Amino acid sequence: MAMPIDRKESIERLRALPQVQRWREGNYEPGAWFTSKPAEEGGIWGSWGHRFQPNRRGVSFVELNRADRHPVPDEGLGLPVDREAGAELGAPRYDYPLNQKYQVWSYNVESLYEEAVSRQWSATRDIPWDKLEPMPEDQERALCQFVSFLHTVEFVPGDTLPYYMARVDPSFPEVRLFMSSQCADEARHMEVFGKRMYANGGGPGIEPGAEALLQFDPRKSALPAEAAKAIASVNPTWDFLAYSYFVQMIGEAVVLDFFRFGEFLGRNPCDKEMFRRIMQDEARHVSFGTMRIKYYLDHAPRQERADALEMLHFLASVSEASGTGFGLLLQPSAIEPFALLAAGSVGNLAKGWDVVREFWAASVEEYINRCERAGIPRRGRCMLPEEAPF
Amino acid sequence: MASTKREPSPVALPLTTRPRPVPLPPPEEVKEKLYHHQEAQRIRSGQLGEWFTTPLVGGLWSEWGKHAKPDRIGMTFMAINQVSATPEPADDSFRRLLHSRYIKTHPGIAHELEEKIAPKYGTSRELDRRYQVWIDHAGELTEEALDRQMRPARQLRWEEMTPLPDDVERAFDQFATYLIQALYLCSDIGGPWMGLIHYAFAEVKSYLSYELFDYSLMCGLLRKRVMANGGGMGVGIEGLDGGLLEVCNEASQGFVGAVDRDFNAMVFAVDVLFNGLLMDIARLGQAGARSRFDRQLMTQLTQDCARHVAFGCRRISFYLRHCPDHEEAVVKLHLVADRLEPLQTENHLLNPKVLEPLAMLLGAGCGGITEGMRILREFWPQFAANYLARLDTIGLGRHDRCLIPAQPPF
Repeated sequence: MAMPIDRKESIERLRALPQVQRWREGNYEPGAWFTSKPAEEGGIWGSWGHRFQPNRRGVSFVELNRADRHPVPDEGLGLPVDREAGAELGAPRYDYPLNQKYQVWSYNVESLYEEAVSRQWSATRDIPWDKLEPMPEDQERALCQFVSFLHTVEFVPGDTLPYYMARVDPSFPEVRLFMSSQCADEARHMEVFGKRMYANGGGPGIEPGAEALLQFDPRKSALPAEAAKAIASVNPTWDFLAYSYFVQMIGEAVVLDFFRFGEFLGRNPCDKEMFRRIMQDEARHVSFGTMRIKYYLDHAPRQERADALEMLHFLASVSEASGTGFGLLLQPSAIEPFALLAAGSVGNLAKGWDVVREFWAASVEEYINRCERAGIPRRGRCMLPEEAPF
Repeated sequence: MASTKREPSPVALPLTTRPRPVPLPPPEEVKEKLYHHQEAQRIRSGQLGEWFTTPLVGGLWSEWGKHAKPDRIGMTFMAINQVSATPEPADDSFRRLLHSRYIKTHPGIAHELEEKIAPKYGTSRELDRRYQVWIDHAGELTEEALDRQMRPARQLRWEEMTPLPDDVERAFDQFATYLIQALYLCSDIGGPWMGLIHYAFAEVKSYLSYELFDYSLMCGLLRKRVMANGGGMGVGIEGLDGGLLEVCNEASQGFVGAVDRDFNAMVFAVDVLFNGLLMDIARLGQAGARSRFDRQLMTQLTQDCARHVAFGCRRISFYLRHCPDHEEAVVKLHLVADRLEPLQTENHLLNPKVLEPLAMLLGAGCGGITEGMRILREFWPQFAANYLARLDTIGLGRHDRCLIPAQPPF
């Protein structure tokens, strides 16, 4: 890039710009952005004549899009700004990697985004921290270990989602906006768990993933190494459909089940409220992932649909057998404190494991149902035992 | 019709790959192995793991007995950092990614395994030094970012969105279209960096998530506004990035490869310079807004940008005070500024698709554009003055070389 860095030269260059010369002459006639017709009439202006009467909820994308005479396009326009914006003749169009509606859209993305915006909350102010009560030592220890684990897990989506946001063609702003709301949600979850660790005398527990790593013996793995490698760690080079399956549909779904039980097991209004709010957020993320996969499978071209479905079944099998998602149900740092919380005391641990077994069965059933909804029938193919293997 | 030839996506990002199915064992074999999983065996034996057996004090447990009390705001980062053993990140303890700084590193994991599970490049271990990412009062800024996040349902009064004359509506719509494009630039460029920052810097990671959401929230509101009040989306602006993409793609190296990336070049470009200019322009938009609703939007945008600029300034200031080679860091940042200032002036501050609608709003319509341009000329010196004042506070004085003209070139 050739650039003048001499100040005088730089100013001369700016003064020579056609619009600056025009302005210097006192000619403020506005350019084509003001005079051109809308694109549908052959001009460069985007679109005109959109009216929407706000209702008591304001203006939501659900209703706004319904009222729009221009449907969401099947293919992104490649402009660096929202759909229905116009462009100068010859303006560059960009090849965003995710530029087909079927690749990114979710049946419920508009309503989920609106819900995300209206249900933002604060880990600082909206949790009744003053209603925490001292808990028996084993219970506080279990709770703190459980949230230490969750505190760490919550970093993962925020580390990866922004890559996908930037890959989505801006013609689909609702999808981008939803993903950014998920980033904010995950940050808040990480915060609230971090704060809970310190709030009631327990403090952060032990490094959450260490014991599972130390226990891991590749010879005993349920999967061949090549398959296990496919899901070794969440990263932004995964295909977006694979990412949505792993993170938004499976990983977060299992975590959502944890939260649901967390609310049930919460011993005080503070813990209950924390899990309740997080559960709502997480349910939104899972819903997006599930309905996005369904949209993909319903709308992709036939061959792509077949290829995608084959991949999803493969990922499902791998995920069920180990790795993300259901690996969490055999993760000592999560499942053991969970059992102890369900037991109510260490002397009652057997009862806690009974609850976890029920949890396992319910979680697997819910997962299989969710796969059905997404269009990935797993009943009869699922690698997971319907009953807990312990 | 615009050109149909497509250029590569503006923000350089790694390619994605789809996993190829490989043969898997039958479900019965998997179920059998899960039955013999070590954790399943331990559960059946009635034992609990080391999280329960380790002594609460002196063992693997990180900090037993810590009891944070909410402060006057609530349970803030400051409240927990007051009791935490690691209120601030240090430089020597972030070896892997299984925990934030609050949790002690497990001594049982050997160095080789550690490298395997958390390689330096391509993960959140890339930026694992305090001087690379930390800021003074990180907790406070993060709390502010969440606290002052727009709550449209509570704060916005859509009933105050009033019909405007066509020329004013069109000017506002063009202005909003420009802002949406500018905010996308910020989120697309800045977002992926979050994934390179170590978990030890939880406050910074959180802050960046909220900044990302600020951009999106505002984009969503601006879109709703232009699509609801009789107008529509205006014209996209070619070259609006004014060098940002080139500088930031170089800084990130496309997020590919085992190479050092320059987070601070991006922060300087996006948070200090670009958000600084956006903030000034949003203030002008506030002055030119022709309805209370539009003014509310611009006020919020000004506040958001102010916070983003504050983050950028604190980050660069911390970096310059703590980086190993201050002189080199200063030179590099000056070079970024040298490249961006003239391009931002030409493509952003003097862009007719930005200035003309703004002038029209300031002049209350097409007939007032001359007056609007007069106001812009009068305001112009503030672009450079505000920017230079910020750079002075962060220790990067540029009075002698700033390439944003101190006086309007028109």
